[in-house]
Amino acid sequence: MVPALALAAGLTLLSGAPLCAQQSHRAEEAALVRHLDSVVPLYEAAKEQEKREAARAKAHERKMAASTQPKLDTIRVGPLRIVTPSDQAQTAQELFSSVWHGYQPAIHDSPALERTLFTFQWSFRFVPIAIDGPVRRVEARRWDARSHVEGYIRQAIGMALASDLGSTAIGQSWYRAAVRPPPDPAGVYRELATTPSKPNRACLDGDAHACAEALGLGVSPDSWKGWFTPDEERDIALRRFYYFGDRHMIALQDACRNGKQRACAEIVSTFYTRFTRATAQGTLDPDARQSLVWFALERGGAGAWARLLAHPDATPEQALANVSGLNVDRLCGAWRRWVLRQRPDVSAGLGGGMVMAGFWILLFAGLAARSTRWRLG
Amino acid sequence: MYQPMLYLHWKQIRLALIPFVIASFGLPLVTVHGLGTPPGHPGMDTLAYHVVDATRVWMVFYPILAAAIGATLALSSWNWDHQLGHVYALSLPIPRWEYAALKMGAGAMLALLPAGALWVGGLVASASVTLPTGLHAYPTLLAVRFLAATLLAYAVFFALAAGTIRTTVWVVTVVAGLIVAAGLLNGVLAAYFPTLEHTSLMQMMLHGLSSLPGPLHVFVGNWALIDV
Repeated sequence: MVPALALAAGLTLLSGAPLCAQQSHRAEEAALVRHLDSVVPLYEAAKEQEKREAARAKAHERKMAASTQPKLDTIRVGPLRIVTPSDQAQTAQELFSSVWHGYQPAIHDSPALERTLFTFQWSFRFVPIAIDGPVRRVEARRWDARSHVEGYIRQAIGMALASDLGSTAIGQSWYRAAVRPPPDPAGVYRELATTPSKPNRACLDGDAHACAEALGLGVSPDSWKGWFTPDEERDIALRRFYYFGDRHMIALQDACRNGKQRACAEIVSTFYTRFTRATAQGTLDPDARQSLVWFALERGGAGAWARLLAHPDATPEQALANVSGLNVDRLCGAWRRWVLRQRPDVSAGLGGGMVMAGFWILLFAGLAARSTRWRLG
Repeated sequence: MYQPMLYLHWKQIRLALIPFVIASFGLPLVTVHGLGTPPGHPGMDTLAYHVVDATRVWMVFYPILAAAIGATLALSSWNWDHQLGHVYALSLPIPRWEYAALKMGAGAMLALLPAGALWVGGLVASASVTLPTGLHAYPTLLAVRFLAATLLAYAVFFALAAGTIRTTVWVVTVVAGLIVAAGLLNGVLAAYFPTLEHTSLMQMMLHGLSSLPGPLHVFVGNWALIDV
């Protein structure tokens, strides 16, 4: 009798516990909703206040600009319009011309460049240049190297051009970086050679189609499932960082750490379905895609950019084919050969450097021997 | 004559050289600390990019260490002479240039110690980890670069220390003055020569010194112990 009663009491408790928890969760949820409802008007008011403050700041900026505005010139370099203090107009002309030269003949004009104004200042102090509408500012301190300033200009032009792609399928699903020459070509090789995945290895071995896959071209949402070995999956899973609140993922990481391969696979799966959903998957980062787009533009030559924009609905593969005049596999094969040529040479310059170092060492030794300390009279 | 010179310099520098030799041996080990996997364990290929990034953090310390060793060797080589008023040197039956050459040769020989330590350290460090596929260790190239940088720094400071204090002060003042004046001059000269408005003399100087055939070129190469 006693065991039966105990069992009944136990069952009652067990069935009651979830009910209590559910009720408590509902109460908590209702309290949260009430709290949210109470803060929404505050949030709206703060947003309005922020808008008013921004408008005031803008007006103040205009007033300041009007009172301290130096003489400005607007110059043209190809389709680029650049606003700059008059005393820097010639420098701006030189620098923008030199950078723009690198974009030709692939890019002759662009809607984004037509509507964008660039400002240019390379000085110790910046003056306010108030401009309405789309603007890209190139501002470098006087002590910045010329090559750095050219890099800023390249980035500004590249970002402006990227906004042309906003309305195209390639821009929405595959490419979201500045359109410019890759700033670190050796880095592209490093990434291809050191990021472990089957497409990368096959690409290095000469499989152009694998290069396309690594770059996220012609891939399906499930392509990633065949990209990694279990060890690689485990390592990717363990290297991801999750905030304390993301308990499910942290629990999965613990399980993965304890040898549960399915947990590792789930983390990788979440990564590819949750985080990289917005852009096509691939095993290489945006720098590699940037280098491919630039390579395609160079291959395409005159009118390449216009061909890209002429078919806004083209898939990334079609778009790149339109730009370069090559199908994706041939383009990726050529790109792969280019990447291989970018391999950083650790011994680069060592021979010449040693010879020159030897020369300087002998020169300084000669100077030491000619010291005046012992000279008499 | 060379052996006593080497012995004298060794006596002068040995205590100061010990930490440098330890640092040279240890730097490659620190560079690879926590990277790769121990030999015999399956290689974690996924760490490759991380390995390259992590080792690059340490690259800057190699030329700094080389310069510090070169400067210490050079200053210590003349220290004894300066303290004793060059009596010993003047008592020797050899001309000044020969004495300086012997002294420089002795210091250069001692520079082999930290460079050798770095080479051994690099070899040990490379052997202590299984590098991911696609990566290679370059301990010998690194040691060669390190030796050249040490010798160059040694030669520069040796030449400075060989002269009178007045000459040294002059040289240091001129170099420091040029660096300071380069910035100031730009503004002044630009008023007369507009093309200088956006040409940095300071950067031109640094570029000239650090690119071939400049004397500091050896300090700015690729100091990677591990790379693709």
